Amino acid sequence: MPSDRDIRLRIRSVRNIEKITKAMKMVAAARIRKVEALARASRPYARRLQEVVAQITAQAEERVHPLMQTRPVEKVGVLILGSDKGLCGSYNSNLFRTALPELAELPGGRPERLVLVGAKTRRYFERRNFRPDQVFTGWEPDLDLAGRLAGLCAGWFLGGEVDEIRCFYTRAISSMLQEPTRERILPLVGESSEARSPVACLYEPGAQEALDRILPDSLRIRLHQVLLEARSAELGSRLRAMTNATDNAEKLASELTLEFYRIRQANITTEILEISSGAEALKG
Amino acid sequence: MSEKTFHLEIVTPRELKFEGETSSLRLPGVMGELGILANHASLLALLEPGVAVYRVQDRDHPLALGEGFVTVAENRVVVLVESAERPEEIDLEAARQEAARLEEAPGGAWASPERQARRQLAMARQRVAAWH
Repeated sequence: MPSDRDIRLRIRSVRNIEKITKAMKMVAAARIRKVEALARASRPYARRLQEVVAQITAQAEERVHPLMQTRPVEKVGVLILGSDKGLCGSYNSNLFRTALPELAELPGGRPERLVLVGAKTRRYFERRNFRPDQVFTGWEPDLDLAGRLAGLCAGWFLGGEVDEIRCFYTRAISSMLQEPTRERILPLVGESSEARSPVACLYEPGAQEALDRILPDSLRIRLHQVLLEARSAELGSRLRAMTNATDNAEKLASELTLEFYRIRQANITTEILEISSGAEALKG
Repeated sequence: MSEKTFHLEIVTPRELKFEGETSSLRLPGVMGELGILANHASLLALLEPGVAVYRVQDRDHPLALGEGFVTVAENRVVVLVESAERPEEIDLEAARQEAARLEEAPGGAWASPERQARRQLAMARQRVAAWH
């Protein structure tokens, strides 16, 4: 039977853990708000850009931009967006377990090009003998990273090194629900041009130059949205994990406190018994 | 005064900078300055870093724009740019130093398109900051 001192020590360590998980929970909650504000601020641009892309691809029907060209898929590039840090529940393992079998099913049995984002992602896939072409750790969901990813993807795609680029990441359906998803990043799909009557339009300097500028931008903005989504899912997952951990610690501490009182009471009872039987013995 | 107006939106990936009715707009197009008034023909033009000026109720508002493009269709003008800064958001001294640094750096200001673009943006910032 543990002594009351042992239990007191355990209670203290559980309380300490609770303090930490509670702090992490609050940090995650604050950072979710920040990421959501970023996502909101970037939405007007993304929406208008999509409109413009739809408009020019509808008008330029016969011209297919190299970034929109679909080819028979023989070589696939893959992007996997996980987190840098753990303690976020099953966020990473759910994503990796979704991605892994699909990687094995790719033509050639593995991705032709592989980009890993996040320290956890790197550890998982390097341990399984994947050789990434690029790794980004310590990442923030900013335009800079989106631009670099877009540059890599566009370069490989235009250079014919890959015929398609897929991205594995986690979508935040709500702050409490996250879901691993797969999305095709390249080739870009032109919005179907239904009902959009081609308006005569002047291009300065030319339609081709406009597409050359706007399509890479739309790839970057798309990736930025994906990064924000993945980060917000990560934080949501961490928030939930830390909330559970805090609740569990709370429960455990109160159970231990009860146990502590029980043992103390038992000790006191034994001592009183000993004293009174001792006194009884002296009397006799 | 019943001047004809059109709807203008200036948007960057970070924020919606301006949305409202304007009577005129000047933009730094890659093929020269663009002037836009109400009922302009449909247009899609690429922009280089520079100064944009839009007029609301007889007051001119300058902005230092990064690279981007503009679309015009049926009196709706949408400017999509990397960055857009108002005079009060610009640190004039920092812009001056940036321009000077890019000028002096080995290879000169025209060494690469990116450097040229950054220098143009720094110059535009100076002009917008000193606007009156």
